[in-house]
Amino acid sequence: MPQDEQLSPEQVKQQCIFCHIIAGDVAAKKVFEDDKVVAVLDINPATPGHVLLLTKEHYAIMPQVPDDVIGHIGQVSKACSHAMLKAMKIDGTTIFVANGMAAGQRAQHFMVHIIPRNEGDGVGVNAFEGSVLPAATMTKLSQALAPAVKKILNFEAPVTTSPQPKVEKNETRDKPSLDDIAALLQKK
Amino acid sequence: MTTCPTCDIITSKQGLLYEDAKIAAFLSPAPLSVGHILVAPKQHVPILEQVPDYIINELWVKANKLSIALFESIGAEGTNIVIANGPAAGQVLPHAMLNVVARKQNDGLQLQWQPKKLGDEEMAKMEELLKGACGAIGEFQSEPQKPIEIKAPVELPEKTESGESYLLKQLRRLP
Repeated sequence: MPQDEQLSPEQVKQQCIFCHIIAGDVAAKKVFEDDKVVAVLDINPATPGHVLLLTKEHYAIMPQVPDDVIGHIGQVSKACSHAMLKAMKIDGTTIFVANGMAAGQRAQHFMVHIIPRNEGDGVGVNAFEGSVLPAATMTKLSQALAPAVKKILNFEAPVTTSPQPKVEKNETRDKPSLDDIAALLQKK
Repeated sequence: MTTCPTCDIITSKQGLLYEDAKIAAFLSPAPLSVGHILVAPKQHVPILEQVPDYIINELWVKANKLSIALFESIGAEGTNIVIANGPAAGQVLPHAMLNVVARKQNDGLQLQWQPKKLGDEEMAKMEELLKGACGAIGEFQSEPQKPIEIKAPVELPEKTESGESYLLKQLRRLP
């Protein structure tokens, strides 16, 4: 994807409203802060108490965030969800990350949403079961994923003895790179 | 067979995409999209709050890597990582897990909410309430260390007359 202008990391930070919130230049309702993350109330919440957990460093999307920060943000989101369950009259929480505009990401700064939930609150993040796919599709999918899982997670699933259908080559499709996905957010 | 379908998948090892000592990942049997992965602790834990912090850490790090794998292998244009914590949030299985959902532009999947506008007073109330509640965040459980087996202490060689230890002397003799 051609990019009209390449912004320096400093310029990106300058344009990012969340970096200004973290720096304290823009007022926000901070509810938690440590050396790696800041939690603020969402000004347009899904439900009252909706928290945005932000990394202090600027990252556009989750794949760019280092492992130690990802692990930490997971632990803080659990603790924050726990604090909500204790302090508020709620039945559950939704912990939500959107990576890329196709997934509904609108901000150009990686964040985790922690949303207090009640039965029938109308928040549309409720259905996690879709329809069963044909077995052949599932097999193809596993086979397509296996090399990436091996490369990224250094894990190889044990070989199954059953005959496997051939995977169709689908290399003509244009795959967006992670940088493209991050750049899309910046260009808005 | 147990009463937990997630534990059944994990113990059967059939179709696991990833596993290590603490966690396992596999394709959702009823996916939201082509490329919906579930990442779960191996230990049967019904709700998120009961999952030890050091396993939470692993779950997030591995979910992020599986999300990267979706980008790289099947041409996902986005991913959602979602934890439904409690039935009110859409949790249907009695086993805590992270959903990693591959997304494409205009895939028709509804995982959104209607943003609301709250009054200043209500926002201030929420700020105070959560500031207080989140104040205690900071101590995270680390993985318990396995007890170290202590063997009988090795007899240390006595010092020689020159006051130098036997070991040092041996070292000096090395070519």
